[in-house]
Amino acid sequence: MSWLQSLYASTIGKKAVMAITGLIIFGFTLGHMAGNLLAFFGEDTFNTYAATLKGNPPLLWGTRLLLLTVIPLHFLTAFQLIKRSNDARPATYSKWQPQRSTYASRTIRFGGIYLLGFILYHLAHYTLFLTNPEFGGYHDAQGRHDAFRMVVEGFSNPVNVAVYLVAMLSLVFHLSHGAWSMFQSMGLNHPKYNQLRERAAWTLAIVLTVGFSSVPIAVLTGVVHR
Amino acid sequence: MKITLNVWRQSSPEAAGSFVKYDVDGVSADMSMLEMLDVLNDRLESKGEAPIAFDHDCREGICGSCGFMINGVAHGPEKEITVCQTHMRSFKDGDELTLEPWRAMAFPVMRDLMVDRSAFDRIIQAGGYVSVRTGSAPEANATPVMKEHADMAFEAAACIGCGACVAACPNAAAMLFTSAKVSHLGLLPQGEPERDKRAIDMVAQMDKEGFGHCSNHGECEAVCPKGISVNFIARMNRDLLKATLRSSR
Ligand code: HEM
Ligand code: FES
Repeated sequence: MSWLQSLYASTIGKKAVMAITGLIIFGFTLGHMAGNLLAFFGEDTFNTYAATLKGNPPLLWGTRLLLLTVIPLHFLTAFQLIKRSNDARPATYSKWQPQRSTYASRTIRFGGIYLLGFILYHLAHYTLFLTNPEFGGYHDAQGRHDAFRMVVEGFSNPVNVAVYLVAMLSLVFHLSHGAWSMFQSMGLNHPKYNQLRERAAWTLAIVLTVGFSSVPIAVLTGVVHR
Repeated sequence: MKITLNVWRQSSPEAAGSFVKYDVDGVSADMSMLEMLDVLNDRLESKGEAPIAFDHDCREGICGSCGFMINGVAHGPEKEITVCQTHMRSFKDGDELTLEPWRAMAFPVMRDLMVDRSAFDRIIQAGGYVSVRTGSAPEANATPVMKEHADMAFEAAACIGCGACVAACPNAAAMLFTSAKVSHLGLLPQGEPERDKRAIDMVAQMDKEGFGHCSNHGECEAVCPKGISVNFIARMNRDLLKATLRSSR
């Protein structure tokens, strides 16, 4: 086995993969969230932003390829680890009292599974237009794809908004644990900075979730409209 | 005091086990958990029943032999203490306690509350040797050790290998144990020459034994009778990643 294979075969190597892929997805979601907030500045700003991204194939495809590598790696490794730890405890306790673990740490895998389903739905919804084929045909006055109209129409449906908001709730828990856990997995631990790690994880998780949730809520309540 | 016990009874590694209820009267608050079980066992034996098997040796909280779950907590409700040092004054008259063995694939139940922890021995063996100079005793101050490192190495060396970390971990991971063993030599100059090899080999053995992975829940640290910190887990992760990147293997 090459050293890379034996590293990936080890639980610690797999956790390093979880941490690095998690960090990359996390970085992407921060940028994605900032972009979404442009919806508050109206149709023109938002469509200009969307057209700029689409008009830059190296950026667009670079990001897509990175995510198409990193997201499958993140969940495949997660499934392998979960399988391993389930096998490590074939008989469960009749009674088990958590002492230190948190709701977020214990539910990270369930939140992850919801997020996986959500990512697939999200792509089918706004990227591939599988759920709403008409979205692809929207164009604004300047002939650009009318991403703003697509977002406003998409989020006028309360069921849709609920699916997105539950995903964002899963994200806040996933990251409030994951975003400090990744430091621990990579061996980045120092008494001087450990508290900062946890605070930063919570803060960024909340910023992300509030940022992402604000757009669907604003559309549903009519704050953002066409 | 009167205590009601729900004890896991299993006659052999292959046998199916189940919980059996025992009412124990006349329990003194000064008895340790194990002394209370001794009293119960005397009564069981005088009735011709098999006594409850549990591991123990020093009964002073230093050997690491004892350990089982009390009401779903490894070593019971008191912090930084083993089962043998848990006294009945921690409970009230009329309490009902569930006693269950450590549960992990790598720790098969031998009988009742007793599990086989030789997986831990094999992890230690995988660590190999340290290249120390033998022969006449060296001058005590010949090898300087940073105070912080000496303290940390000492904290890691306090691990008694009881297995509570594995028992408490939702993933049945042996990360706290292995990290304490990796660190207590890795932090000292005497352990430096084999540091990379030791981290790689001990982690490989830990995985081979079938323990789970670390989700950073922190349950292990909370039940460790020696209060060993999860900081050692991060240190081991760092050691392993560094060792893998720079070793010749
Ligand atoms: C595709 C769906 C996803 C699944 C199935 C998933 C699953 C998981 C699981 C099970 C863990 C915990 C592993 C363990 O037991 O230690 C985890 C950790 C983590 N996840 Fe995800 N996740 C997903 C999406 C995401 C997203 C969207 C992000 C970032 C925005 C993310 C960031 C992280 C981070 C930073 C960690 C911590 C890694 C560590 O402990 O070292 N994950 N994920
Ligand atoms: S019997 Fe030695 S630590 Fe409990």
